[in-house]
Amino acid sequence: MDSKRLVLEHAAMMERWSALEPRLRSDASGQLHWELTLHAEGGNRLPIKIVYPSGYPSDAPDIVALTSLPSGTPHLLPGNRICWRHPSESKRNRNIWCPSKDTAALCVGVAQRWFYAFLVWLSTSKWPVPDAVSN
Amino acid sequence: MGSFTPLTKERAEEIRRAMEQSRSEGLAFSETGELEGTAPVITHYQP
Repeated sequence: MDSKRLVLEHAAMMERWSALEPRLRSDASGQLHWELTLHAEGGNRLPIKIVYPSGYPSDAPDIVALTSLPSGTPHLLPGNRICWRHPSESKRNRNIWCPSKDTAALCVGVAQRWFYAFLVWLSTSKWPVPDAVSN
Repeated sequence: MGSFTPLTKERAEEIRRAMEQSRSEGLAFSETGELEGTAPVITHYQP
């Protein structure tokens, strides 16, 4: 990721989600990711990381839950990754990654939505909306 | 295993309805991420 884009990524994230105290980290291989904890009612918390892939921004970030989730949790991909994109559907108005417009800040809103859907599923055994491709 | 507190059935139904509605409407989150309902229509990259 070039430095100009990185500055904009940081600005977008802090402008929208600074209350969640997102932290930009780098792993041993130099791969950048954000770490933060989502909050929901009932004291529920979900720590996540948003990982910039090597092909960013052409490739969308991965959203990874940093705590183990119940067996059978829907819309969860291997590696505890949240399922959120529809790369093959061009007519949907959400869940499509747009490299020229979107930043990792978008992923926080996506993850919040997923977290609330997860809590509804946990409470009712039904995923509230068929918003993602089930695996 | 993460520890999660289930929602009440009533609150779960409210959230389900908000999500269904958001499918001119979007989900509205506070700055700390709490769901506040829906709002008329979440940070974009501007090179």
